[in-house]
Amino acid sequence: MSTTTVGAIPHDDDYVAPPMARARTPKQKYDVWRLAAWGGMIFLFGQLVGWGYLGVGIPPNEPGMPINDLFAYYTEHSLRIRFGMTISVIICPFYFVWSAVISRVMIKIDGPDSVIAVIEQMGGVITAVIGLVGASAWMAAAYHIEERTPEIVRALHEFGWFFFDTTYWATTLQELALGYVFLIDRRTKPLIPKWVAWYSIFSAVAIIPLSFLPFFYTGPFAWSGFVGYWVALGSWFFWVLILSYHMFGAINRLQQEEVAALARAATR
Amino acid sequence: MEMSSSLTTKTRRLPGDPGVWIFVGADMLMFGLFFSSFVVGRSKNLDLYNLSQQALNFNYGGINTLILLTSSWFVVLAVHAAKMNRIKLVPHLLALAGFCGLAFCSIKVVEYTEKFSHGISMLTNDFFMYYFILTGIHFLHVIAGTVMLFVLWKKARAGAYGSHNVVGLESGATYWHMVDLLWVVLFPLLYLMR
Repeated sequence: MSTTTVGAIPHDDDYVAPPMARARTPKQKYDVWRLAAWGGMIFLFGQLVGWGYLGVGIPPNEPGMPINDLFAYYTEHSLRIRFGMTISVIICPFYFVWSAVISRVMIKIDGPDSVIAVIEQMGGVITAVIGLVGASAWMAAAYHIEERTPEIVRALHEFGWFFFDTTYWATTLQELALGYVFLIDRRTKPLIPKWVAWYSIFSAVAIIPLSFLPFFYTGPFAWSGFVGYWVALGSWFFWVLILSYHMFGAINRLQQEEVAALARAATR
Repeated sequence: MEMSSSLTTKTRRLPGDPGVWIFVGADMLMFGLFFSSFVVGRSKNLDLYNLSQQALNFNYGGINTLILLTSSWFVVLAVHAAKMNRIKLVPHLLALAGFCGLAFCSIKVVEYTEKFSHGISMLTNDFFMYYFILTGIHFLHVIAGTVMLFVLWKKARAGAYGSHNVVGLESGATYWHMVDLLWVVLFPLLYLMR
């Protein structure tokens, strides 16, 4: 015997939902989604301040920089870099918070057993880890600087960049998964505009030149180059921004759909 | 009156899903940046670029240009056949286009192998850096496009495309024409420009 109470979550016959879950209205549920969707903006802003400004990731120094200059640079900015990267590691997990809510929206299109939504979510988790490890490496390069030798500083510094950049395929898969699902949305007005889905696929392509990073010390395809840095990371940055904006609209639509469905069920 | 307004909308419509044009625009902008970067690099070191260019095999590039243009033509015919409801013809034309894609890839592999066997790689100098990376990223676009043509071929065999449904086919055709267009710019830029 199944009971359908308005606002209840679907459950087995002998499962008794806790009072909190039963009492949760669509608004309460989607408020949590909206809160999680802010994760994208928090991530971008936090990274701009922590990684970009304090950690001196924007603009990046050239990989071809002489080793002693790099060492002098770390000595001079030791405290600033550690402080910036500390903010960065606090901020990075907000990326997977954001990715989690996107996968919930995807499930509303591709169905609750969607593997693609899971791939998107895992891509988000790994992308957060990429930021965490990169920042930790730069933090370590700046730490104990008075006892470090230039070679070790450079090794840690370079490891940071390679982990941060060349591992981008996790993010590419996230963007492709999401682009695909938002393209197959059959609603007359899709939850996420189709052009955003297409932009996601473009962004997944534009980041591919990061694979050339290990081969160049200078020029457009080095980690500081205009392709390896501005095009690849820039297109991703705007992708997070654009998608975050449209995510709020999609969540509002889902809430309206659910309220309408409950109202129909109540009058039946 | 009604007929003329419906005609206007028909002529004004962008082929395929309007969103695919966002992808095409952004991708061409990215390649535009690559091309500009190449031209700037070339102007700074003209002699090196001209000398390195002589190591390229003009014939491979030229044949590949013809192959891609032919392939685009088959895709145009496929879209046209779908619109004329000649549903049986569509998969054949798509298969021909797909074979052209495969031929392009094969020639590219031969060309790359030849360069490597002569000890030329993307680390040789700036010209070959651009040569390998620009043609390499374009190559990935061709591979993706060939896979796409295969998917379209399978769907067309199931009779999916006709005058009732042509949007998916047109979106794919738009992408394939872009891949063709990019090569038509890449070829003179790398192989011919003196």
